[in-house]
Amino acid sequence: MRGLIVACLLGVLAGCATPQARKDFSRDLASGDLPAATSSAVQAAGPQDAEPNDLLWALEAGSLLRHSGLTERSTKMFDSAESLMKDDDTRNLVASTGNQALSMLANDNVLPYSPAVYDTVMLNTYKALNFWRDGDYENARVEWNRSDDRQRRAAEHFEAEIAQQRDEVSQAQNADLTTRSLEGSSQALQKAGVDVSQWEPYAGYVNPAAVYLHGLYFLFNGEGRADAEKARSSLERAYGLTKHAQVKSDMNAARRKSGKLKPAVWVLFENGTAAHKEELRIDLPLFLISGDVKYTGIALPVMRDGTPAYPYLTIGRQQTQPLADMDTIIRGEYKTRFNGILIKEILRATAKTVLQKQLNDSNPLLGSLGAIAQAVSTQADLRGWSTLPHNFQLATVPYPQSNRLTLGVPGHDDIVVDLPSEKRPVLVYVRAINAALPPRVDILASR
Amino acid sequence: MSLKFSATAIALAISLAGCAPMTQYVDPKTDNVAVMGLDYKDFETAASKMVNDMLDSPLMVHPKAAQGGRFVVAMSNITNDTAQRIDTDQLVKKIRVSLLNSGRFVVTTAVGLNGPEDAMTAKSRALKGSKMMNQATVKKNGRVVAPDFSLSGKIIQRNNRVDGRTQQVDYYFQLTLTNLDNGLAYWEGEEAIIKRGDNRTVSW
Repeated sequence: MRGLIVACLLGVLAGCATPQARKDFSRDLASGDLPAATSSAVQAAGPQDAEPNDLLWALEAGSLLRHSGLTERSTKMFDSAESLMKDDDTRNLVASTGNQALSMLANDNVLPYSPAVYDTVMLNTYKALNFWRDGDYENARVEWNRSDDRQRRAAEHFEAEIAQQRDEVSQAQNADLTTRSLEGSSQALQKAGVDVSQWEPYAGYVNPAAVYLHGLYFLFNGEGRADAEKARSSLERAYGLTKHAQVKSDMNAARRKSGKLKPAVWVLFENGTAAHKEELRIDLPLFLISGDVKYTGIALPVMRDGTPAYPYLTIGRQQTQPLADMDTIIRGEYKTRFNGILIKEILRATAKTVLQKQLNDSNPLLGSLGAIAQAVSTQADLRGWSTLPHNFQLATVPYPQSNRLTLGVPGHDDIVVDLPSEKRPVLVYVRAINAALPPRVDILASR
Repeated sequence: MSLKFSATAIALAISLAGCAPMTQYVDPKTDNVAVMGLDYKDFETAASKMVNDMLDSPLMVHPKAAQGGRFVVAMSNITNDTAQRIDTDQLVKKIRVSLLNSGRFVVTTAVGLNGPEDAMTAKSRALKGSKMMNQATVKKNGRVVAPDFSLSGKIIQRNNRVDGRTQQVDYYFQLTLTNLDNGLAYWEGEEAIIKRGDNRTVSW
């Protein structure tokens, strides 16, 4: 019996360590050491010469390989990540029961990373941009179609998830208690300065930047009426969400049935790092089982703002203007999941507290050990794709006579971009992760 | 104890070995396994139905068919507008084989949308004047046959939710044979392949 308890405690504590790889990765990125950060992400994604088996690291590695200009390796990494996403979607509930049980004893960090819907949309968007950059228009089209389908599925997904959360509350053993705990937690969150009601998603959980880029791709590279329709429909959606003047102009161009797009330069600026989770610990006075319980509480992940690398870019007298806010997308989706996370955390705290009391009843020393294990294992799941951007910005300028574009970066040297000598519509895609890393500039030309 | 452990380990190893799927041959005629994406059976079905339809068209009969006249077809672009990373050449190859086997069409490899599929037709003419070659065997200019028709097309995918657990994926194979003499589509065909399945994940 004692062996079993010790094994359980070990299992519980196993989910509590913060991996060294994550610390190294963050340190390398912050200091601008791209090769070291990329290498640690690639290594953490899976064994060498084998398919990656860690989804979150595969996403980070795919992003940084892309930032390093290694688009083929980036796409391959994202392909593996997509395959892991599929495994996550179809994971057999029975097969994952053991993991779920362990997560109820410890925390959600013991479970494999389950991707957010915005992760899935961004994955296909990045792959489409990789193919576009390499001039592989056939595969770019496939990835845009995938990105579009993922956006369609997003609204369905959240509709189902909200219904499921409602059912979970009503089916919980102590539904009344859970409802009261939820109300109590909301007040505690507000006291801690966390206002969940402010985390509003874009309508339909759409990522406006992904929709805009989808529309722009088909505006630039469309073949025939069906593609023109794709461009029009996506740019109308993007304009509805962003009200960006340039998106309006692109939408009007897509609405015109005829006429070739004039040569010009679109500058899309993918800026900074996205909103991230921080742990908020709350001691809940909800159980009141007995005075024998030494510790009870919950740990919730709450969203904190992302960080821009630069406020904007300048091109001559023009500044890039906000197109879409990745933080809004992330927070909005998280808001929808928040009640589910809260319910699970409350149920978990209940189960742990009951176990602690039972241990205490059989042996006070075991009860104390149980309390320590509960305190240590009460940890929020803070995992997320950290190299997603804070926001997307957009500007358009006429095609320079010199075929050279000068990008002004506040507090940084100007970047001179050599454009194709044959003038045509061109997307200059700028990615700046932070001020320590040089921005990456890619030229995505129309066919 | 160690004997018991070894026996258990062997039994476990055997039982795990029994769990691994065995490699086996698949008979395409009796294979009932379906995937939400496109597989060889879909290409086979679409290609054979569309070629049969093409061969049934009265406009697709060469005016000198009785004397062995056959239309020459050039392959144009087949756009993959699905979410599946597929090789459209796989579909095209099945169609080409069926067209050739019908005895009514031949396919040119000397002309293609992005240059010839087989550059050897042109390159072999470059041997003219080569001291190494028997000049009587060098292929002459003016003998390569220009195409009569161009085959182009598109594969489209439409996804729809049936209910919370089921999704429907419609694939449309669309092909057009354009008469290169006048630019008119002499034959058009569409073959739909509809699949219903698990909605927990994406269709690719």
